[in-house]
Amino acid sequence: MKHLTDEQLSALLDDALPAGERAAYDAHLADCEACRARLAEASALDGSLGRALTHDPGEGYFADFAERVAKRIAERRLDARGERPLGPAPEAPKAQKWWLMSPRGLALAGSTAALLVTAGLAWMRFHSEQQVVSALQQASPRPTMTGIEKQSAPSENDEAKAQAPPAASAPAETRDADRLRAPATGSAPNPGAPRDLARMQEVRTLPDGRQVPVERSKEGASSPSREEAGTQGFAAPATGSAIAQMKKRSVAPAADASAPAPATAQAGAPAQEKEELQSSRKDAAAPAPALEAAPPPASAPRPAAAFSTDTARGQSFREWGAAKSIVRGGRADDAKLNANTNSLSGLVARCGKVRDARGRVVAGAQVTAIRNGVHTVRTDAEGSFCIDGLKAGDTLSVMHVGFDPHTVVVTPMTSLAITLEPVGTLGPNSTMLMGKQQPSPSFSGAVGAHTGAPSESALAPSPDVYAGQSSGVRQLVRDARDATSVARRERTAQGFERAAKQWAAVLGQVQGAPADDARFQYVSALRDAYQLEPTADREGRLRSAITAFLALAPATLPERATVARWEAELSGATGR
Amino acid sequence: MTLCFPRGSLPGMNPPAVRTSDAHPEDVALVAASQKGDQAAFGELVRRYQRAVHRLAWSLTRNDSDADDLAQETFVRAWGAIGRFELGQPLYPWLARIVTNQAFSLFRRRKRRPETSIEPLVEAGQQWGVEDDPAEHTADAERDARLRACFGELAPEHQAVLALRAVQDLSYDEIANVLSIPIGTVMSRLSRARGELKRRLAERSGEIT
Repeated sequence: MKHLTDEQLSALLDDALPAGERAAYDAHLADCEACRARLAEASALDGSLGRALTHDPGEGYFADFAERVAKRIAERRLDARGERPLGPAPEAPKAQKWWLMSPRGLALAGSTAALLVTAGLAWMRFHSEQQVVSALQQASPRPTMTGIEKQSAPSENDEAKAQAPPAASAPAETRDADRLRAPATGSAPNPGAPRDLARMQEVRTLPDGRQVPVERSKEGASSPSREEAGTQGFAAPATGSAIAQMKKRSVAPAADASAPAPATAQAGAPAQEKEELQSSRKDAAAPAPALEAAPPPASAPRPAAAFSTDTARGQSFREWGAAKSIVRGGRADDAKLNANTNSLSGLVARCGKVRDARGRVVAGAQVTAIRNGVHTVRTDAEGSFCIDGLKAGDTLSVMHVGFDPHTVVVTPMTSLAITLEPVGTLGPNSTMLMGKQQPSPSFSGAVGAHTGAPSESALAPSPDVYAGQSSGVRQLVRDARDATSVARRERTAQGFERAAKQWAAVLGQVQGAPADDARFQYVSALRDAYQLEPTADREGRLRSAITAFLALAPATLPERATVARWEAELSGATGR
Repeated sequence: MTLCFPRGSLPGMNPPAVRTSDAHPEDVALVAASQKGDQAAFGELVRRYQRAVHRLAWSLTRNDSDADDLAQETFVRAWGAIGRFELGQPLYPWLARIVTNQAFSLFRRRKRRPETSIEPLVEAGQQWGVEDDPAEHTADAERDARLRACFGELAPEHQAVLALRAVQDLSYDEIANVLSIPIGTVMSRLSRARGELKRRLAERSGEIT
């Protein structure tokens, strides 16, 4: 087969080819390094472009955006420019209050909720990880009481402003009034929409809009940040956009899944846990209580997905990349999965589901469990897979064309709801444009928060394997090589781990031969770190890295033998 | 298993079909109410879509004031035309169409004024967290600015198709819907746009390094 044309590559990148054609291209890609490199490059360019063209003006900008639009509409009407808006603006005063209500608090609460809820999951699954704890500690100051207070404003305003002036006639005035009112929520006449955290925690809004009191004593003892997460989880605003929702669906379920995190104990009582989990999920999907208290006639309840997705975007989430990377791939997915997660031998999930970043199921993905031997299955049409005998400590690799490989070491707390990221995607965890050195997303599961460094890079392919990469990637490679040199000079485990981290960053950006090299350098650095200062932690990371390498490296790659030998050294078993 | 790209057909194939027909039930209710003149409902729609609309507007204008104007104007026009919106259709592609149409006319008015390099640099720098290394910011910001500048040199229709794909992550179906062009054209235009962007980027990098 000839090389893929630019158009074919472009369509492949966009996942826009008919299945028949796609299979042929996949087959070609499997054999053609040049085309793989082109695809990776195109993917990286798209990712860079997406970032470069994205600008978040911040919550403040959107807080009164709707008001400004309303004002403009009003002016236009006065101008009588012929675009007669359909709405008979002067009547419907109640509606206009709603229209003018300040969404600041909602927006803020929403961002916060998504962040905290996600962090909550991370906490549950990795509570022993100091980093997550610190991430949570960082996260908690961000959410403000104001966000919660303000979220209550809508309902109060609705009642209190029944005779408020119409938007069209006095937008500025209303804005001022709104500003004044928002902080003073606590003194507003409606006691049902309070700044009272406790009150809010006790009310749960069901998807059908009913509010029910709820027993939350278990959470009562939880840490402040967790409380906030729980609270704001209910109160998330619907500032989301459908697009964000589509795009960030992978984040939304994470929020769903994390809702139970604060509420569930360890693995003690599966049945109860499941029940709580279910109800918590309902909560996450329920509309904000404050909004429900006095819903405007036209506003339907808002789906949780809309909140968390929108709020998960942008800077705030970027700042919490650490937490996210830990959570990535660990979101619970559906009831069935949750059931599976809870019911298995040794509490290790046996079945899971693979989705892409948009939340679509990924069928035909190759799922490989590696420990003593290799067990490979493919996801079915629903993206589901089951692996019999999956045990804690196994390494699970999920791969599919067009996606970064995803590797995770199975633990009792591992959720097998896997989210695959597109190849070379420069997401929040990416490094090329962020300038941050973070582990590759695909390795986040295996590597954890800190990674190791390559050592036997002398064995690596020729240095110009990165020649075709963008300058950003080449810079990363230079950094990684520098770190490696330093580590070799100093001979410290920490140095090699730093180097490994750098290589992981490279790994996140490349595909094909460069990825093989970076992966090898990464394993090599981890091995050096482990040899200098063997710890269980390092061994675990090294094992995962070796597994991933062996799972991904082409059979013809010379380094395979080396890594296989390392594996044999490590486990005393025969390396594969 | 030797493949970085294992074989197998991708499931998410033609995701657009699913997504385009996926009008949010809440949106449908809000649109219906808006069509009856309920400004509250429309206000809610604004809040739901303001970010997506602004994001697209910003990617097509790459400056705050134009993006703000474009985004606001989009909703003003949407309000004016909401009566003609076909209920049950997803709202965003329709809004995106308004954004791109306006951006096109802005392009025409300005004759594709070349990008300034200072402003994006500063803006990009502001996006990084305080804990980040300033030197890295500069390098990142430069890369972003270069990318934006090259993007700004592309033909408007190429910019639009790339922005809808790379920034908004719309499917081909959705892009076809937004731009009112056949899917085949989306495919070829995207490919050309990417090629052109890559070429310009290479040229520019050559100049710089």
